Amino acid sequence: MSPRALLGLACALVALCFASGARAQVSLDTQIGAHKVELGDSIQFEITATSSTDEPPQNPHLPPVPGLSIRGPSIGSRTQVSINNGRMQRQTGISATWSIQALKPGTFRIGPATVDFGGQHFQSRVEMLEVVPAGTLPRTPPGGGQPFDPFRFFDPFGGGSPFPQGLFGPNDVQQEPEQLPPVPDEFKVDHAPDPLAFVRATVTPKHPVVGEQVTVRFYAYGARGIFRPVNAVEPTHPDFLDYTGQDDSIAENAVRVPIGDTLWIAGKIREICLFPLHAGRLTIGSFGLTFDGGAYRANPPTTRSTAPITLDVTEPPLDGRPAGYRIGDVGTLELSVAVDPRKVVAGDAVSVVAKLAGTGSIPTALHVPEQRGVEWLDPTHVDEVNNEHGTVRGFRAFTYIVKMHDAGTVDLGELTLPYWDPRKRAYATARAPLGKIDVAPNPKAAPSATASAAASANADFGDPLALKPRHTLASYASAKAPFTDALRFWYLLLGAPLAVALSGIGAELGGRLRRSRSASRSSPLRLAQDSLKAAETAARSSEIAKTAAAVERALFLAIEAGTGIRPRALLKDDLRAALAGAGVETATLTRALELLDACESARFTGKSGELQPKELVSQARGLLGELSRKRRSS
Amino acid sequence: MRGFGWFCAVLSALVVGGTFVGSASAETPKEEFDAAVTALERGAYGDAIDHFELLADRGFTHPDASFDRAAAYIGRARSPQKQPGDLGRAAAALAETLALRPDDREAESALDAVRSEIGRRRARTGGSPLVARPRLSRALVGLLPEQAWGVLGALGSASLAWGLALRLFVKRTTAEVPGALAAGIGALLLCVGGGLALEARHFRRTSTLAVVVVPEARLLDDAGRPLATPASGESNVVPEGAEIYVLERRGGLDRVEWGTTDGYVIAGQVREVEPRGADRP
Repeated sequence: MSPRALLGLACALVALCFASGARAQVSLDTQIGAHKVELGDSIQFEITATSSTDEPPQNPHLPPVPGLSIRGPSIGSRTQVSINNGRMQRQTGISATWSIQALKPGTFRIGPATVDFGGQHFQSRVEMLEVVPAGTLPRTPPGGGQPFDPFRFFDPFGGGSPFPQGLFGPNDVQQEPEQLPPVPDEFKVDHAPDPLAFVRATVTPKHPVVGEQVTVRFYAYGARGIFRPVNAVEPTHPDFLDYTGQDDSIAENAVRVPIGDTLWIAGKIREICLFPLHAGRLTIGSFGLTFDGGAYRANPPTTRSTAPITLDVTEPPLDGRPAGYRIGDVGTLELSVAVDPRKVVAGDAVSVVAKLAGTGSIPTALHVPEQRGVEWLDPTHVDEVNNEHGTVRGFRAFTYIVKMHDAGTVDLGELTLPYWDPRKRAYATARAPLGKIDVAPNPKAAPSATASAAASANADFGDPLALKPRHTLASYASAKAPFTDALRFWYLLLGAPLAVALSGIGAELGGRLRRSRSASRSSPLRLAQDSLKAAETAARSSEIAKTAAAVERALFLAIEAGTGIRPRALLKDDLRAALAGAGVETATLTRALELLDACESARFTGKSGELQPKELVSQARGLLGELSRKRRSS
Repeated sequence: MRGFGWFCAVLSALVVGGTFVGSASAETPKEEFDAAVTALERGAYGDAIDHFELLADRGFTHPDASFDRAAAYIGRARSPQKQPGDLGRAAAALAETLALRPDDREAESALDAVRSEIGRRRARTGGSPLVARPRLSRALVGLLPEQAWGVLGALGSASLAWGLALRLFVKRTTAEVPGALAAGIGALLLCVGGGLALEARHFRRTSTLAVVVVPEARLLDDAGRPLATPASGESNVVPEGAEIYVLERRGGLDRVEWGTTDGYVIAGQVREVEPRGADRP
């Protein structure tokens, strides 16, 4: 054999070794939901591909099969860490799930599915699927064997109803009312909000806590026979974690539900599993769909939707809450643990694999028992949490690497996880004791290099961040509310100067008022009125002289008030001229002078002349009014 | 006699059972505190933090508990179990200690040290500074304590009242000038002292001091979108340990004031420091 041929042979061997090595790095596992199904049924086909490196396999692919409708895949990732003989092995992988619907009878070969890794294709196992005509397989109808199983109207992947439309029209369903199967409670409705079609939503529970599973179901009801739900508008739920999965549709059998005098066709359209992320009034958006089918086809289309759902989400109670409880850790949980090895040398590590299983969204972290000399590294996770028949359940496996720094027998304590059990409405704690580890001294390591020594070094004097814990709760004066909070402070602050200013203004106004009143009391008009009152009094007692004197005084004062003329200082003729000059009307003037003459005569004679005392007063009042008007007009 | 024995046994069982259930369901704050300190002493920082946080959740406030909580967070921040935001939470706990006991020098120096540590770490990554320039009104109000502004306002009020009394009630000309002076100075003091006292009261009642407890809190608008960077070049990212004021809580967002910028942050990114005033709206 020539050297060139030898070289070629060697290269081929090397390439083969590399190829086989790469193949050994990926493992493929295949699962199929069933090997025999009826026409129209759907099953799931899943492959799990894992590699022994940090790089997961990619591009899962399943070739099409004539006669089968293949949808997907939905891809999930997984990471697994294991320790064998002190050597840590990490596996990274994906799972790819396809939904396959049988479209025609026969036997079909599914696969092989392929994934890409390191530039190569890897193939899965081939699975066989036998499709038989509908109704040939034994089947237990839901709801305790209802005889009514007219159709499966919901197609999770939009393939449409396989059943002839109008199979159960309104006339059909009314012909045999006596054969109605019992209606499941979840479909029962007291009254129909719409005479043609409607969508209804139910939510359980109505008052959840943060992290508790909330199941929302949407039902569609049609009054005109069968329908096909299309163009579904999914509800929004930004404040919830959705664990519904990729295919949340429910392929339920339809049921006939009597509502009032009408027999409705109803079906469950969606069932979604949500977990509230925080407390408060959280809203799940409306769900809508279009009713399609012979009796429902219309322009515009028969579209119905639910009202948004608002939930009052609270946090679990503070009473009895265990330390370390994290809001959102809700469910029914069990914790198991495996520790290996139990004997190590100081500086080496042990592996702690904890499995948290149960219902709920399964918390993503555990409480590790920290202590000096024991260092817990961040865990790696393997998760398998799924929605199983409306309940989210599964497990999370945590793999910790725990470094043992100090020699001796170390009690690791226990892993714990406090959680809220919604069924018992109480807190509980999942526990898993870790036991003891015998740590032999490490002759190669210097004692000062241990982590616990390093930790104690942190407490050295002079390190400003090495705080010494306070062991007692010393008394302290709780801060009082500042005096500026009291309203009386603000009243006083603004009220004092305001009160002084108002007092000053008040005093000034009071003085002015006093002076004004004093001035008004001595005015001629006021005195004239007083005199007139005196005249009235005298007139009532028929004292003619007194009456005349008072009337005369009242007239003089009225003239003074009305014209400013002092009549006592003037002779009669001068008075006439002065009054005329002051603009007093002639008639008034004449009557005033005549009255003055009458008063003078009565005063001196003591007898009433032509005018009686009351007449004098009456005329004087008239003149007083006229002279006052004169004053006002001037 | 036999019946009496049964009665005693049942009664004892009930008493023992009741005691067990009672002790298991709720620990007193003192017991919780002791458990936390014990955990802190043995280096179980996470355990200690759980106990201290439970105490805080139950409404128990004490400066020493807050101080120890800070010690636990600092301890965890320096351990392999460190979590993002530990130093911010330590700063919040120390700020709470100072709010409850303002003359706690150890807490004050520890808070300075924590902020220095955060600043040092941010400086390595080129992050924005920890302290933002406050807005003018808050800076003015912060020159003196609220009560000092109140006293100043009260002095101004008295002086103004005295000056007005001299002007309005004393008719002597010799009283006119002192009256005008007293009234003028009093009015000025009343406006400044009273106004700033009112502003300080307003700030205290409508905003709460809080500390950022995540590595960075990005300022958002009311729809939850990140705020655009202002033309002034100020950062829209509030660093860990920075003090901000929470103005309003709206769903999962808190409206906050950081320096001269208003914005929203996710509620869990900040921790409110226990308010000092007794009554808050």
